[in-house]
Amino acid sequence: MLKNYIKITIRSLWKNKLFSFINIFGLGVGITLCLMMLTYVIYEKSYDNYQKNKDNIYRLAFEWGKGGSKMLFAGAMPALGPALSSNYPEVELAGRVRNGGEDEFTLPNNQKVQEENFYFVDPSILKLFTFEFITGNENSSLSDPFSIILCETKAKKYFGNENPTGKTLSFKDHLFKITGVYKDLPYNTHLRCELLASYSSLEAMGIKADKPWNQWGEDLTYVLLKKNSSLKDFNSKLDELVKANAGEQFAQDVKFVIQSLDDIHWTAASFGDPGPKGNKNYLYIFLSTAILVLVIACFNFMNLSTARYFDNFKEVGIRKVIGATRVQLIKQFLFESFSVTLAALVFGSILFLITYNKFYSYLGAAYNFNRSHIASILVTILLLLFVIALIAGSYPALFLSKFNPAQTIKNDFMINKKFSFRQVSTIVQFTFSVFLILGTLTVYKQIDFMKNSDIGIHKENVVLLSLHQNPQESKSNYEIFKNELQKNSDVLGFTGAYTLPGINSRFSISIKKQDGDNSKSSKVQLIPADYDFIKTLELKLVNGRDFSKEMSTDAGESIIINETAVKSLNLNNPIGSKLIMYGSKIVTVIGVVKDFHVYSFQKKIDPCIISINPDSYFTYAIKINDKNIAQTISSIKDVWNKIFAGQVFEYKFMSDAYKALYSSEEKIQNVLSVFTLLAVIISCIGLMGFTSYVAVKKTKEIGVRKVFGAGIYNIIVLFSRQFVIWIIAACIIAIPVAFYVTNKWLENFAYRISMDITIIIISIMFTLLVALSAIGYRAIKAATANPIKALRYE
Amino acid sequence: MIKLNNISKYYENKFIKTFVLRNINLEINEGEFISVMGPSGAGKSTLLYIIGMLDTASEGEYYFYDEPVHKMKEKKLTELHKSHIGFVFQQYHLIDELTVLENLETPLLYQKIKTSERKGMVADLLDRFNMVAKKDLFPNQLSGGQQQLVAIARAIITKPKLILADEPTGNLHSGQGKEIMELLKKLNDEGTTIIQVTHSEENAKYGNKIIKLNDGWIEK
Ligand SMILES: Nc1ncnc2c1ncn2[C@@H]1O[C@H](COP(=O)(O)OP(=O)(O)OP(=O)(O)O)[C@@H](O)[C@H]1O
Ligand SMILES: [Mg+2]
Repeated sequence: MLKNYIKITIRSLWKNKLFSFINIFGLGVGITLCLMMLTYVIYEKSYDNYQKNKDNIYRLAFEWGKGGSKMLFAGAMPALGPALSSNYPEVELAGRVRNGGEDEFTLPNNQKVQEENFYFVDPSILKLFTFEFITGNENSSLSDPFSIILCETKAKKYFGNENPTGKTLSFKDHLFKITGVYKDLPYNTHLRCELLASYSSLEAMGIKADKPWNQWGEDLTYVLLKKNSSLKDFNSKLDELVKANAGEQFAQDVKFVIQSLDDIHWTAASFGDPGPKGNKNYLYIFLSTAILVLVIACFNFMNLSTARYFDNFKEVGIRKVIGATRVQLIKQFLFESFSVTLAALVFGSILFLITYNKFYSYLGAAYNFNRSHIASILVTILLLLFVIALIAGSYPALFLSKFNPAQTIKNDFMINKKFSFRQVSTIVQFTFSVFLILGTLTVYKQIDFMKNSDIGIHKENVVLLSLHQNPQESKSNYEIFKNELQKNSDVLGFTGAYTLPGINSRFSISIKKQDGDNSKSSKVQLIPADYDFIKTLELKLVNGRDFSKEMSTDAGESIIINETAVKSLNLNNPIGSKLIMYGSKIVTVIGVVKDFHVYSFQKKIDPCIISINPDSYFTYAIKINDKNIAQTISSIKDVWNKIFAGQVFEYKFMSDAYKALYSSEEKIQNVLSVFTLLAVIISCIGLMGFTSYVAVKKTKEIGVRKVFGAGIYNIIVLFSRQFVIWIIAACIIAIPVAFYVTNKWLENFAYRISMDITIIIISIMFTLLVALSAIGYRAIKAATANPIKALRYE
Repeated sequence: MIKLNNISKYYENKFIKTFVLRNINLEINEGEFISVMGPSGAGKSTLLYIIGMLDTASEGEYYFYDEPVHKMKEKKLTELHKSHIGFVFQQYHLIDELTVLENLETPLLYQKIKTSERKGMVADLLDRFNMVAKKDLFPNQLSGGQQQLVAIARAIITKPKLILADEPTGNLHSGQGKEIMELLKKLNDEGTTIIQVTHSEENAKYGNKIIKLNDGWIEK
């Protein structure tokens, strides 16, 4: 019997090559997308799962800032780690991890290599995190200065099959002895350690913090807490500790944030945070789109299967007459649908294997299969196979096998009666397609709007630098740096500021009018900045004047405000108005600038005031010539290294910083476009297959009509009318839903496009156009066929 | 063998009953060769389907070897049908995707007959019908007469007690028709009960009894 099923299945698949191809292709692509999403979800959800202590490991990050100003630092002060190791009953282990920087290693054969994932760590880190040592061990490998351990891959890369233990690597002119090799860590960890040197080496190298408590942001500090410790209590102990050691004033600005490993992965990057971050938006949008595409493909499958089985209507009858039981018939149908699904699965899996690397690297993740993932993927695949085949096969199986054979043999009148199912499924398919098209267009338009709107700042060729030090301590260096830079003719402008557009930090204060109602104050963003701030960023002065060094009152007593501030402070005559800052300090408005976007379009522009304050230039903006960019940057770096010795030179372009604001939206857009395209393609080839089915069915009818005088035009209309009606029905269902969902998404943006009629018209036109061209070929072919031939064929 | 008591068949459409068969009383004994005749639309095929258990009567009783068919569940019906009855149609109704050999084999597959035994039965039949050379051809590669031969072979391969033939020669020219009728006659001589529907007086004469159907009534 089985052999017979196989034979029949192969023959009928071959006989209906087009249908088979469409089904296998469509389902296969749907399966590929689902696999992609599934593995992505597993990958993202299993971050740091390899850590044996995962549930009890925390990172001590902190927020720093006055009042409403907040910066999140991933690292803590260098003194915190050691202080925690004793006197805290809840702390089992504590340790620090410091980024090793960009310097090159020199191998014994004098080859130079640069390593990204190199850290200095306390010995306790080896026990806190999970390492599997090949040589060396977690107790002693990093206890001495100038010891270093490597992951297996790096060890192989540098030393081949030789035993690396005891060999040395040179870093910053110091020799590091290799004391261990450990198994590679999985990719999905927030901290990809490939080379680890002992933390004690730092001191031995002369790198030592003068004030280890009054410093921030450098040492990622991890603790392993005992089970069921109260995080709240621990948090207040931390605050006490810092207050006792760093002094009241510093401690005022510091608030600890205890992050679990999951928090680390899902919280947006803070300062000094390594590793790729998870994005839940991706997860939800991609997952739901993948499911939509699979549903479309399944409907296609069912649609075409039933269409095809109606061809077999008579055959089903014959088989019953010659003795087939209903169960045997159902088995045959299911066998066929399982075979198609299996073929689609194989195709989909191959496509997945070919493409997943591209997809993952695009989303900034590197996927490596591990055993447990493969197991869950396999289970899911089988489940998918089962469900799809069952759904797609059971409808025709149950439906067709139900009929009494006398009916099925006598005529095929049922075909027209049971049209409703195919009608429904075609409408569902196109509803999803229209929905996806509308969604994609909206995302595209919004991103285009955000990228190309005037943000009120000239952001091209502006280099941003940030200081990792309290600016009060480097006030003199700032002036030297500025003067040095201005000697370079390619440097067109320079300004220091508390924060700059493209660097995320806020400083909000309360302010009120001197002559206004005393109790009424408003919250504004304060940007302490240098005299050249407005000039360098090319902000547009709409009223009043810029800061000037000639005016002695400008330092501290004058402010420039943006238009939103004018509105929110309700200033009728802004220039010359007196405002009160910090409760008592009186300042005068000397100018008004046009609003500028500091953050992404998701946030509303804040009322904003700019004032001169050399004590708080954390960030520098350098406008450079658009020629010789690389050269200019390297000369800036030289100056930096000379003046701010020991501080990392990290720069970014302001334009890149703005682009990065939308990188996740842009990725969503691109992935969404691909998915939508596939959904539309699948729907259309389904439609094409369906049309050719109808064409065959209607050959006789068309022949007769032509004999009685119908023109080509009439035939094409006859052919397309029902499809056009279905697609319009799909649009009517899809548009309100899409409208609602896209509006919800758009609500994420303070500045957004309005959903307009053009997007809707474009979506409808696009769908109709694509669908009609899918139908058109068959329609024209049928319409132009010789009617006599068509009749004789019957 | 077959006993029909007051069998009626009607179709209900918008509360109007259209009768196709009315109060049919009929008894057929084993070994008979019956010809059913009557004008188009008289209900001949319908009667045949009911006897063949492919359709059910709206009213009345039907006994097959004294078993009450009108009370049976679908499963039992299929069982009874496939072990006792062979069907032949005017339009042959072979399965297009299967070769001659496979078409003959399919009913045996449904009866779950073992491979070796099955092969033997198919080979015997091909031999008997002189179709060995054609066994790997598909139905559309055969002439109408040849297709009808295959259809009859398929109907008798399970050795049914009863063969129902609905205008088996309707699509054939007289030479081929005669051949088919001779074959049916021979099967009847070997003991198979046959009921055929026909429009031709000449073919009707092959049977030993003629039933005339008119507008659903049996004419006396
Ligand atoms: N599903 C149905 N609904 C309503 N009427 C039906 C249905 N099926 C068959 N009939 C009617 O039943 C009557 C008998 O049909 P049947 O096929 O038995 O006739 P017949 O005697 O075999 O005719 P012919 O010689 O043309 O084959 C016809 O009038 C037909 O219209
Ligand atoms: Mg008939």
